[in-house]
Amino acid sequence: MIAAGIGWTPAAFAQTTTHAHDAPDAVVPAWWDMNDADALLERMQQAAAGDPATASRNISAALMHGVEPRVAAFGLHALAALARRDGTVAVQHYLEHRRPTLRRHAVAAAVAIGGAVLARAVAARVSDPDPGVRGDAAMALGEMGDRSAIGSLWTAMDRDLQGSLDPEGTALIRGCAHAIARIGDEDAIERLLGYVRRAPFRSLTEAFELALRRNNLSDAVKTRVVSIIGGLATRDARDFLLRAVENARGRTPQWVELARVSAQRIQVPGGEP
Amino acid sequence: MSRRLPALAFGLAATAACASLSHTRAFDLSYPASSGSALDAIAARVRDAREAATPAVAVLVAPRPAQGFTVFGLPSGERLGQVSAALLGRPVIAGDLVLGRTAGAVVAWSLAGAERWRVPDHGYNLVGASQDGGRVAITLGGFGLSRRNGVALVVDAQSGATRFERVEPVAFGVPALVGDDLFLPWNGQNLSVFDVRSGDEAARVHGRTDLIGFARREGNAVWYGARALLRFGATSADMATVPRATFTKEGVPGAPPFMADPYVTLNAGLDARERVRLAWRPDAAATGASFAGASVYSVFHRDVFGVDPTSNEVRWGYVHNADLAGVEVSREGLAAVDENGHFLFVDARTGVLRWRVDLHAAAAQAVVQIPVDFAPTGHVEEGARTPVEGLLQCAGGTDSRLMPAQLFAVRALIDHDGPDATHALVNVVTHRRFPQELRAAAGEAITRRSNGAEAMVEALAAHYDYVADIEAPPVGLLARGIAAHRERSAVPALIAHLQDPATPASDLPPLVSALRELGDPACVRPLVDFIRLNHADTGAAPPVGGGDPIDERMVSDQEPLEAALEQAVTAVAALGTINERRILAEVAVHPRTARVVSEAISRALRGEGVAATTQEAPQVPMTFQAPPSRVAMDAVESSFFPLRQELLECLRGSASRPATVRISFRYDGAGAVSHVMVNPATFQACMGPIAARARLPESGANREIGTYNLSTMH
Repeated sequence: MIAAGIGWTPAAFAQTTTHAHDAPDAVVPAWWDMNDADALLERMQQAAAGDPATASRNISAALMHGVEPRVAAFGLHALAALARRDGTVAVQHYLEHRRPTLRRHAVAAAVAIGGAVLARAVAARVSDPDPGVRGDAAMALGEMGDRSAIGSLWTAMDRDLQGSLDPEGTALIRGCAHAIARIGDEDAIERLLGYVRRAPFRSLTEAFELALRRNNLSDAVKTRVVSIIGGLATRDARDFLLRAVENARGRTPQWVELARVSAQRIQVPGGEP
Repeated sequence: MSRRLPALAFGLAATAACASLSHTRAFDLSYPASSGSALDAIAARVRDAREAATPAVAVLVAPRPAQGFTVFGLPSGERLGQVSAALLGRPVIAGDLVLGRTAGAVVAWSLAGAERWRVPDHGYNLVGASQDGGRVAITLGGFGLSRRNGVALVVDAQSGATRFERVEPVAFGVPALVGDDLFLPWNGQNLSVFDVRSGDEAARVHGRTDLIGFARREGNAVWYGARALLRFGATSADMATVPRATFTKEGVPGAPPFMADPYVTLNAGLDARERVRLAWRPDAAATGASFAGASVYSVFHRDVFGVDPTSNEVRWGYVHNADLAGVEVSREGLAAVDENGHFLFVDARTGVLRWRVDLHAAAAQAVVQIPVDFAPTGHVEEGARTPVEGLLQCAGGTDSRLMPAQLFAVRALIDHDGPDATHALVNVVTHRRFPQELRAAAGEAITRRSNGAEAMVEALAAHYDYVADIEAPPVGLLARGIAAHRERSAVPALIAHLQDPATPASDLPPLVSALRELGDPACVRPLVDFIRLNHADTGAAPPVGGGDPIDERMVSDQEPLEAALEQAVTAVAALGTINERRILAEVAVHPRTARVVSEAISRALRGEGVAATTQEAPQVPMTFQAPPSRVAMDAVESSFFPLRQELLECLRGSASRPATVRISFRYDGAGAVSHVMVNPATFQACMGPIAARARLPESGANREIGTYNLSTMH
């Protein structure tokens, strides 16, 4: 798939991309029996244990040839483990497979393989019809470090914010928040704090834990995170703060002390002070 | 002399008896139909009679629990008067009077709301009224043709003093008064003309096969009828030749009659018969019988359609933002009052709003009286619409009551030829806010259009997008339309939808079929990919992160997917190269390939099932010619294809698996294969006899060497 330009949106992406059909057919080794799924799985396993480049090419060729779903899932898993760019075309195709499960496997493989082409293909999946694929794709964008996706992640997060009644939030909210916390700058973290009372808190906790673990964020921002979450004074907020203190592992910047104090102040009905 | 006197006395007596007889024979069923000359004399009087000016007013009956009505001058919307009275039945406007039935009486109010007079109602409803020359004709009854009792009377318009009165065991329709002639429809099949001064029945028209329920003066003519509009005159003596205007358009929303039963009084306030109706008016300016503005209007709650009664073409549609409480027609358009008390005037030719004024009074019912040349024009804050845009607006909306009107609008769009109508139909197909029934009708229609394919291609540019809240377009319907138009520019868009997982499985068969029919080679590779990725796609897959395998394929999706694969196979067989056809052969032998797909591949590679495609694609003219001098390579491939799986079985258990097995052989003109040589030779024993069973097509070869390369790679 070839993406057109930076500053994409999922819809624009869908309209401006094409499959790389001109790429020559990859050839499956003659000794791989494509008609026997069990034998093929065995071949793939053997290949993955060997030379990564050859394995990646052969597994990709087999996937492009068309295989049973369980074989495809394994093949994508193997391509993720191999993390070679040779797998890009196959992963691209499976990102648009009709089965959501295989699309999710392809997202995982795309994260491992990386590259701008796959980043854009994954970005298009943020608008996928399947909620699981959407969430995985959003989170994957963060893991792939595609900063150009930030704008679309905000849009996607807002889209789900209105209709979500689940206290856990939707996979898309979790994925977007996670990705923003991973690749966003300090302004982005500040903006994410604005969602604290709007989005289900549990859908944001992973994101803020991630932000607190980042070394490239200032203590001032982390203090803001702790301060605002401490202000919630809920059991979930207290658990979050206690985890933050624990994860700090003896370091004593200001925000850790604030987290400790804030957690102690939160009185949970029926719980320990 | 003495002999003459008795004769004279007899003659006078006979004349007196006849006069008396004519009086007593009124409403008698044996009364003969009047001659053409007698009717013509009455029509001549009507032609010569001066017609009083018709004040343009609207009477708005207040919704319950309020009682009474308010009178507004039109088109200004000036409030003229107000009456608080418990009305028993729809009020009637007759010139400068508003008549309504209250308890025990029919009351006449001036337009300013002052009671002018009242007459006893005899226990009957008010059916109709007509004013002319300072007198008002009134008919009472209103219980339908099954209860034939009624009263016809003519009273002084100022005082209410009775000038003519008949209490009869007949059902009266809506009367018309012109000078001294009272036109009185009765019992459904009769129109009697009474001389108001003498009280005598001067003429009668028998309806025979026509229903007669109303009489109406319009300009210099009187009109009557019930299921058709008939012009009173000499020809009324013969119903076969009387000028008539009818409305035969079918499928009008709500299927209203030509007019509501004139023998039944409508309710005061909301009455469904006024909300779903046809509106028309006679046009006296034309010769014969015709409708004012050459239009009949179909009113359906808040929708109005302007229909040409001659061609039955729906000219335009107008959808209002509130239900219409009452309408009346002029030559220039349709005047209406909505439930919120807005008066509006819609142009007869274009359906564009020409006038709008807020009367500031809610209306459960509105009775409108306007002259035939009523034509207000002013600034209306609504952009000018084309008729097609109006129809498209009528087709939309979320009011489920309006479904019949929406369907009617879509059918009207279908009947319009222009590309803008096609564009509108594509709009209906594309937007899910339109009910499925409408979209299906529009989808069927666009496949038969001769224009507007670019609108379909444009619609295909949209893709499902969860974040942007964009629904997938109805690719299947659009693909069918595009295939019908042979619009090759749509191929890239169709391919994009083929690759889009959001495209519903049910849309895939028509989509692939369209690609096949368009015959563009650019679609072959995507179709090959589609076949490869989906042919073995059955069974469960483990989820990401582990767990029990899940099979998320819906049973309902499997069948269309297989149908799409079948179509794709046919397309690749017809348009693909030999290498691409070889891929089909590989797919056919995969154990997970659906049987229908395998069979389709077999048929396609044998050259069957491709005929339909090639027939539709641009063709080289068929010629009769001698068989080829030798068998072409793809023909060899096709001939060996049925044996391929058997040949591959020979590789099982072998120590090595070559990428290709080369099979050389000799063949004759009849296609018989012999002297098979297999390389590597280790497979000779197994493959030789199998290959010898191959049957090639006939050729001009006497004895020729052929080669088949069996690919063992996938």
